[in-house]
Amino acid sequence: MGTTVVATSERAVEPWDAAIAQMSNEGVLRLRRASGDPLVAGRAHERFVQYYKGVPVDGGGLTRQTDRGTTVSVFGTIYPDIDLDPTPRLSADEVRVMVEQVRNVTIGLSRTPELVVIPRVPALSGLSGVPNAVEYRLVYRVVAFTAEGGTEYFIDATSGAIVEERDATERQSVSAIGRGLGVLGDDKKISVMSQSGSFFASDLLRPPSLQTYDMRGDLTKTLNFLNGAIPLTMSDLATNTSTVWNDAAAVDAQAYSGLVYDFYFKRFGRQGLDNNNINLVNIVHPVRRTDVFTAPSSVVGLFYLNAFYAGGGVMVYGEGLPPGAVVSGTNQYWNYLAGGLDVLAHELTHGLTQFTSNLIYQDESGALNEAFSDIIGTSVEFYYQPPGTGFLKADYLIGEDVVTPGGLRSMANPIAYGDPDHYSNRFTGTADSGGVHTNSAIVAHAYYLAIEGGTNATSGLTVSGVGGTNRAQIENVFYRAFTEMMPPNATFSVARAVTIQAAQDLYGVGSAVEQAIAQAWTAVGVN
Amino acid sequence: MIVLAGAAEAQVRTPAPTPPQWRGTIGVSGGVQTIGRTEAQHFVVQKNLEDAPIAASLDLARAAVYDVGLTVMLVQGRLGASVSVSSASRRFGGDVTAQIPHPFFFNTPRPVSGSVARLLNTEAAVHLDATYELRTSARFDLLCFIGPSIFRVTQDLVSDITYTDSYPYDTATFTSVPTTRMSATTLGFNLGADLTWKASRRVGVGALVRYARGSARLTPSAGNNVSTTVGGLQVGGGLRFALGQ
Repeated sequence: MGTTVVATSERAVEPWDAAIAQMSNEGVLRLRRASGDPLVAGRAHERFVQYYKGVPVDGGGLTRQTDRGTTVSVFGTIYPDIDLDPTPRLSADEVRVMVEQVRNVTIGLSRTPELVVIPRVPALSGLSGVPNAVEYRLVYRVVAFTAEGGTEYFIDATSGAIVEERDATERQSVSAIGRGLGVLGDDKKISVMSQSGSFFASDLLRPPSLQTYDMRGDLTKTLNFLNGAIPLTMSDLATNTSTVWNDAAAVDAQAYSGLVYDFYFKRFGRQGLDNNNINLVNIVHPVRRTDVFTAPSSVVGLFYLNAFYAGGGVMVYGEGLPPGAVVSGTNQYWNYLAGGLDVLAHELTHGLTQFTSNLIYQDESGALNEAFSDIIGTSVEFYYQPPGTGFLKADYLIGEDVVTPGGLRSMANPIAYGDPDHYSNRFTGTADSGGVHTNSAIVAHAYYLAIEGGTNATSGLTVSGVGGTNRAQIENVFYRAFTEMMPPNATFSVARAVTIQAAQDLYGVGSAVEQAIAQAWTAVGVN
Repeated sequence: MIVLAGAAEAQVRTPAPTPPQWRGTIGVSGGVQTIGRTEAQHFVVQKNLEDAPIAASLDLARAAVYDVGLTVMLVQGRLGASVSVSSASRRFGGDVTAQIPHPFFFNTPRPVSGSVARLLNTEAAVHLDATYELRTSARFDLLCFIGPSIFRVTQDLVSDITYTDSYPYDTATFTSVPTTRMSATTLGFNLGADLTWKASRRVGVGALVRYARGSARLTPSAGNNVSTTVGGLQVGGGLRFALGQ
């Protein structure tokens, strides 16, 4: 894992001064540039690059600002846990010839491939709740230009495989507003990027990078990306030749992920999943709809009839079913999953959980994980949509816009969907990771009761909710509890205590909010 | 100014040589176009895929006027003709309001407002008048005139609005308004009077009052039409030089 350095106080910079001196002596840091500050008298800046056994580390390094010799700030990233053989198996010439053959170009001696260590974060690990580990690769960096532009290649120094590609042409990209019909036919705006007369699903208006990639039904490519085997490039972005977009799934993925980011920011002041504007990557069309009838059931279950957070800010939205097809048993039609605002918010919130409480995806903590995603998913609906029933209306159903009729779960009436509304009826088997989806309904129902009030069907206990106009209070309580105070292995009972504490913190001991939450937990049998 | 008028009456009669059959005056005047006016602009531009309505209220205050004219009178009569060229110029400003569409949502406009200053308005006119000498004496000439005017109006108009906004883009802040300088030619009329006090046989000073009027349509862009009134009440004074008899 890289160590991110943000040191701006005297106490914080002091150890970094010592560390920089030590790492410089050891050759881990090399001073690339030192310069005076043209804007502030007395200030100077140094830029250090990290090296590993004589090989530069891509992205590793520090900047230090000093004021007449006294350190003011240190920023950067250091990768302290690199452990690889810095001796390449391939020579720079061999790599150059490889790139020349792949791109059909001639690369001169001035463009000799440079050996570097590149840190990489595999994408697929989010569902396990385990933070992504950084892996390091010894690669050659070489830039090749063709008539279509320049590409910076990172080529494995042992195998010759392309580890990463980056656009090396610093084109003039301009933010643009596109419009298109979503999955449900609703007209909406999307923030996109304009470049060379085309439009790409890359949001340049919001603080984080927010992009939607169209896998064009290529499951192999999707899996390779999720496993970190290949990068996605600009050519993989969902694209359109005009500002009026035609791909409804891409339109909704791009629009809704932006809205969820906005909700986090406006409601909670949060900057993205990690509160540091981590890149958001939407994956649409991971498979072809027409292949659903021949696809293995596992693929259908994951890439057609599902959406999931894949870690590292990556969301994958299932393709749904061809028109007219339904899932046997429930007789429900599944549309493009990207078309459900609550679905999308649900998946993104798994990322939020990963970066905060990191609730273990098993048993009660897993159910809390799922419940928090449903809670935020529903909160986002009420933030943007008018209350009501039917498409594009805010309600307490989950996925009702894309899984029709009825959706997947009900926070208001879990029993109607076969889910428990009371702790005494919780699922205790091993399926579904110990009933993480099933038992989430108990928590979600408590959330519902705390807002809307009402009587639990099993216990018969009545809750005085805060009312829909005060729903933000309950949202704030659950957000605070689940992101700041919830331990990763929390049980429902712990969640009760944590949410009550959060209510006391925010609204006072004995407040109506605290009472509503306490009553709600009691009503669903959690004490 | 404006035209001017009547030549001094002859003081001494001399029989020969044969006098010219006309008398005239060159007048040079400066003054003000006294009445200002307010003009309104209402138009829409496209911002963030939606109409952004823009409204501007432009306050055209009084303008400086310069005038050069030649008047020719029949020797034995009171009728004559004149041609004069006038130019009025002013700087003006106004208030601008707009509704800027949100980049992420339809039908969620953000109001912005600001002001604009130092816009330019000029009106050049050629006046072709029939003149009539109301009174003449050894010291004063008073004549009136009326006739068509050809106006050339040039005016800065609001053509767009610039603003700044930042995430989450729920508000926007007015920055400036780009302007377009437009011109148009139109036909109008003028009428007025000129009083000259003759300091000598050939030189005098005069006072001029003219009311000129016309209207023009300026179109900075499709859908952005401005009907503007040109002219107004002009008051000025200057020198008069007698010609001819």
